[in-house]
Amino acid sequence: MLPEIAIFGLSLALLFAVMQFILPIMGFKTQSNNYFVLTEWAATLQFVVLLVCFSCLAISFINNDFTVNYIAKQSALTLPWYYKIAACWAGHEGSLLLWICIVAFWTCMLVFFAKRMPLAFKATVLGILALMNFGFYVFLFVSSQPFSRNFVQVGLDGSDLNPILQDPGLLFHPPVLYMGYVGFAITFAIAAAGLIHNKIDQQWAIWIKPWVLLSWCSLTLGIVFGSWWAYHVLGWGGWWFWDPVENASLLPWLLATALLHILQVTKNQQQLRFICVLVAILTYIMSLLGTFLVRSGVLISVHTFATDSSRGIFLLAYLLIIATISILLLAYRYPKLCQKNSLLMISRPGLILCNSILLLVMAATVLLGTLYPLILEVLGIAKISVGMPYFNMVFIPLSIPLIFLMGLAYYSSWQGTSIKELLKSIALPLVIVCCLTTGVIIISPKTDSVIIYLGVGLGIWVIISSFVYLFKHSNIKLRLPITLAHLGVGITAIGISITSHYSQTLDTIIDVGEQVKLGNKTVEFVTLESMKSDNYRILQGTFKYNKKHYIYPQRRKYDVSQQITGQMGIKSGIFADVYIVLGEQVDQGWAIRMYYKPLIRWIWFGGILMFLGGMLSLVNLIYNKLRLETKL
Amino acid sequence: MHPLRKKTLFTICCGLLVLVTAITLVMVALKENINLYYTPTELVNAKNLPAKAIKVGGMVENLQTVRQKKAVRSTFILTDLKNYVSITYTGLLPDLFREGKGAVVSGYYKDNIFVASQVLAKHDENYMPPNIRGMKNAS
Repeated sequence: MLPEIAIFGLSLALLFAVMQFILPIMGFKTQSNNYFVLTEWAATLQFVVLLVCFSCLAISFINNDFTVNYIAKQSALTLPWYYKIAACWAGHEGSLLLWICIVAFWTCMLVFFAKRMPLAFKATVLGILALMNFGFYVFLFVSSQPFSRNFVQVGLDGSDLNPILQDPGLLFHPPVLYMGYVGFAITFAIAAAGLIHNKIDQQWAIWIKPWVLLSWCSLTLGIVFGSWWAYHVLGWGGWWFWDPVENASLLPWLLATALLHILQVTKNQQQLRFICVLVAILTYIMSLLGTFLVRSGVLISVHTFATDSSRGIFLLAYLLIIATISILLLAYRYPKLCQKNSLLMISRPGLILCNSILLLVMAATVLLGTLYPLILEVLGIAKISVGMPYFNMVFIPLSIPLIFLMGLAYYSSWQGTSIKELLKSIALPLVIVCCLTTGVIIISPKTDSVIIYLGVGLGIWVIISSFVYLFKHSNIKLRLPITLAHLGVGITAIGISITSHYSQTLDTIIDVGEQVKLGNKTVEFVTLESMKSDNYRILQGTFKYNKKHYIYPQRRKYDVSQQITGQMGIKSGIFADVYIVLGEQVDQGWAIRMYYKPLIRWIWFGGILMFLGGMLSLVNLIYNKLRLETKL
Repeated sequence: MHPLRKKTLFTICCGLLVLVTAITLVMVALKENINLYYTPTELVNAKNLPAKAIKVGGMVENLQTVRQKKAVRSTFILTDLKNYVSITYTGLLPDLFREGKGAVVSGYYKDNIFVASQVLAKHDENYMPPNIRGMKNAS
């Protein structure tokens, strides 16, 4: 019964989406505000109905309704309830439904919280959103309907959720990442509406800012979750693989970061309007491209979950339509947006522009590396893959000036600073940075790699500059968010530099009772025991690291799929992680892989600081708005 | 020169410099760091292979693991159901690596033996490299 209700609900939601598109047009024709108010109702109702649909799917999962194809494929009787809910978005059909729901959710938020936006402008935004969501409804109904049933296979127990996905990471990573991806649909719609109404000005910047912040925060957190999940579940001890799917989330992040900064210039000085709108549009196009790469399976990637080329073609067509229309609109408004920029190079806006261009160039190189194999294959030249070395070689040299300028921007003012003044104010911090970096060089093990120290030095430079910025001025409340986010960048930079260079790996075979050396510490294989959990059997090893810390890596064999997965044993710490993978039994012993990962937690800690900075900035925005309202 | 024009010139020069640097980086990095991807049939028929690491994808068969001193040494073949390549690999295999499933390895091919430095299995348990999927469905 529930799946049928859901299908009816989906049709109803589609109807509301169509209304949400037609009502604003009628409103503009008749110049009546009533239609605009009705548009808001349509948007709200659409979200409510979609929420019911999604609940239907979740409840059907919990009730083990295996007549629904999607549930039979993604669930099993013995699957714990929280994974049953998470399984809603584990497959292609469900994640598409989640996408549509989140668009509707953000739209609904826009209806309720964007009070200062004029009705007509808001209705335009809603209309654009409805049009964009319409494409996804068609996609859902035509090729990826999650509620399709098959009554023949009654009595099955379900083929179980892919064991690799049975991890707390699945509960958080996809929804948070999608919140970010989809949030850029809102910023895209506000940008497009701004172009249509020819209203790209300071006020527009104020309207769009909270949505950029929210999406950027979600995306940041989503990427951090994803990186952590990959680290603790995949067993190669890495935190970033430059896999096409990871790049797909990095691309919108780089662009959104640029957007966030350019927006500040547009808001304060009404400059860089063209590039601001351009980046807002590109950000959404990149998140669509990301979805296309993940869902179509056109690339050789370890993440490819679905390989269905018809889906790919649909998404590609949708992407091209959105891109063409928005770029044409932008070109049409170009003369209006074009203005004599009077930016000084050495000023806050000048440096922000510099760094934004660097971010865009980085995004372009990542995009090129990701799509290059695809282009060559389509042209029939060769089948290739572009791996980690390419990205490291291109990305690292570009991030060095980026991070340096980031610190430098702290010492410049909005109106411009003379070179002499700038040199005077950075002299002392630079000396401190040099001293600290020398300290790090002395205490760390000797290495020939200069780039590591450069990375650490730049990280320290950003951290010191952030503190100088925070304490030199009186208004801490306003400066704290910026400081936090940039501190995060510094900490991540240090973490990346150290962990990528000083990590140790050991592949070996040992039996219970034996010892090996990892670096200069001993690791002892103490015991091996088997256990039983809800839907899998466990073989757990106990290891003793450095004679005091116990580490428990596991091998799990899932009952339904008979698939074996490893559960890494990790002893995490502020300064280093010890990471043990229990492999197969070989002759007299067990294959074991061990990692020593110094400062790896700093990478994610930095990411979380960036997220917190963004959230705090949002809190500031809301607080100021409330204060303004009470004053009025 | 007029100061404003001088500034514009400076900005354009800076922009060009960044662009040229980026393009050079990309070109050099692409030239050095791409791996050619082969199917077993293509690899067997290939006349002159590059001296760089290459990738091969196919279905895993005949998996054997032996202990060699303190390391695990695995031998298996990758097949596209027409031809096969023998692979050797030292180290821990990924969890999802099993006979009858798809995998991609990277390494060097010499004297009919492929020495893999990296083995990748797919996250999706039912994944097959595209060329094999077509054949399996046909047969």
